[in-house]
Amino acid sequence: MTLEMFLITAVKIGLVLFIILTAVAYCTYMERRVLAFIQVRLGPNRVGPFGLLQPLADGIKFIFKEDVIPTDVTRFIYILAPITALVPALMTFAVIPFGDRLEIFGKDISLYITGFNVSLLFVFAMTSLGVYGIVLAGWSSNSKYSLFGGLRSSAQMISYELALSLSIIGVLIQVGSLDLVKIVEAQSGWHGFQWNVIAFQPIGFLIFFIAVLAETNRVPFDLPEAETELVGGFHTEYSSMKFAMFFMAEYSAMITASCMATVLFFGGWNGPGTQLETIGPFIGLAWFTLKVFLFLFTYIWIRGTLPRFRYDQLMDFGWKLLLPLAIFNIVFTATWKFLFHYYDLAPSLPAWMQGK
Amino acid sequence: MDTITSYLSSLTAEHYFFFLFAIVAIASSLEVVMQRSPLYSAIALVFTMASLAANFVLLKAQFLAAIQIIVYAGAIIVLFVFVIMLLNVRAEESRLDRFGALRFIAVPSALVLFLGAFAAIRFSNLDTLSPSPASAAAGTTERIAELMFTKYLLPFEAASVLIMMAIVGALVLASRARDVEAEMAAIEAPAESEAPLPEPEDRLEEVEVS
Amino acid sequence: MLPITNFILLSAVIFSIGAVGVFFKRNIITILLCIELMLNAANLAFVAFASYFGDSTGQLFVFIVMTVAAAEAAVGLGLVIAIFRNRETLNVDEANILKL
Repeated sequence: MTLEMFLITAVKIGLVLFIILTAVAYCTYMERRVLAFIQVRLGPNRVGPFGLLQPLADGIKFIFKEDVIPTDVTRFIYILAPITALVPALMTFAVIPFGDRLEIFGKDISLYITGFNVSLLFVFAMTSLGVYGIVLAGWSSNSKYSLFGGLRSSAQMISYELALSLSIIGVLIQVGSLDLVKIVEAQSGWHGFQWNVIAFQPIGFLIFFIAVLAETNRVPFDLPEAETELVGGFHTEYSSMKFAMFFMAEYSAMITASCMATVLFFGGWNGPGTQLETIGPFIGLAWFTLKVFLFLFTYIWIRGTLPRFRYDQLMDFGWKLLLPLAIFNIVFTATWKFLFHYYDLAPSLPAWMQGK
Repeated sequence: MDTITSYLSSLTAEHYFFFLFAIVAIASSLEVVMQRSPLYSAIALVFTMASLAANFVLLKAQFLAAIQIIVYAGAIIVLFVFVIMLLNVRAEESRLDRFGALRFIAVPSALVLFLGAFAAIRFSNLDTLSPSPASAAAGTTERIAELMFTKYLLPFEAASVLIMMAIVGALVLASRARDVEAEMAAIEAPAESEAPLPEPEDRLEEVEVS
Repeated sequence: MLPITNFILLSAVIFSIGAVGVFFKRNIITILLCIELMLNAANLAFVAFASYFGDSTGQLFVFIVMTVAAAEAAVGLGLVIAIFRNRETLNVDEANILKL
């Protein structure tokens, strides 16, 4: 590894962290404004034009607030929990392909930090570590509400992780790779519209999206932090910056989930205009951002629309509906792929589907 | 002195990473054993798993490294933590694990175990084993999948049957045990429960209304 | 790559530590955790040999060991819950009679 490569990677890491943390801050703003719009309110509009500086004000408030550590908590784990929530959530961005390769100053630079042959599994490994933050926070707080929040959260996350990982197997069967970059490249046909969600994985996408809602503890699956029954759930006893770290973890998990939905099912950076000479990669980046933004908006929209699940309904839904449906999707995709290759159906497809 | 400096200069980045993760693995696995609270043990075990996954990457087994984190750290240990939280036994922790006389037997026997393994490694010809050129390809998902679904299909199917049995077994064990004696009594003596209802006039009670 | 002895020695050390845990811990949950530790040490040796011989079979067996570990954890924790429900203790020494 030369010094130049090292510097380029360091700059990329810094840039991605900066953009993601800013995006996390503005997600809270967007959430409050959109929810306010749905509920016919105004939302934050005092700090700066249209309230645009509200995230900054919130951040300053979080930093300067008194950091209370209750006396009866298990101190070490209590401090460790927000860190374990935030770090894996941010580490996933190391492998998410935001855009294609790009030529600047005669150098070939990829618009993602790194890519390797099991990068999809890396994202899943990091998101599966995210549950520790919540569970440890619930346990160490030494409070009934926190403990219930942590218990609910771990049961919910284990249950929905199954459906989540099974829902993407269909995509893997179609693409034949665990490399996120290759998965995006495989969707570049049909003038940039050969997205997996169109080409035969709509069920997979539906399961993925619902399971991801449950994994990120969003409405309608927000039982671990249901404020009407558990005060604040696992973060009842947290304040100041530790509380903010839980929120940052949650919102960056949301962004990760939106990025993964874009990459796996909505063609990543693919779209019309990405084949152009110089500005192609930038158009790709714009497509990626637009898709992620739409997913984030859908999250907030769902929050403003749907009521919360009851706990038994949540478990029934995960185990008795999503899981069998995901297994059906795998069997269906595998059968279809086998028949497609066995009878060599590719030439009989319409011309535009063959990329002509 | 010369040997030390020449040894130090021969170290590569791989060596440093290996020693770093080996130290983390050994320290955290010692923590697993030394901690009294099972929750701390479980957390230490997560660190062991993670550093072993890093060692897998050094051995060019990326697929297994990722699976190690997902399955062990993300599922199995979460299950342990879930049960520890569900039972929520803090009072008992101080009473348990007062090692007593046992440690005078346990530690030497483990030392003997390790020395046996060490001797086996020392007197074998393992050092002469150099990495095969095929080792880079051995860890890819394709190779493992190919073997799993052709040559080792039977172990794979047996493992799935095992998982199925484990699910059923765990359900049977963990579901609340029914009161067997009361059920047996109900089966043996149905007369009591099927006693005829009292006549309607007996059930009514006359109340004087003034 | 490094000499394979490093990895095998690390595996032996972790296995011995896990064995100590199984020997003298009295809390059922910790004993199960120590068994996981020993399984992990075996996994490391499997992967090391598989990688040095250039043969994926060892890695495949790590996969199967993980399956067995998952099954073991599920059944073991089911037993722990059942024992705790009946006896209100996690001490293996107190669970020494077959009847309730």
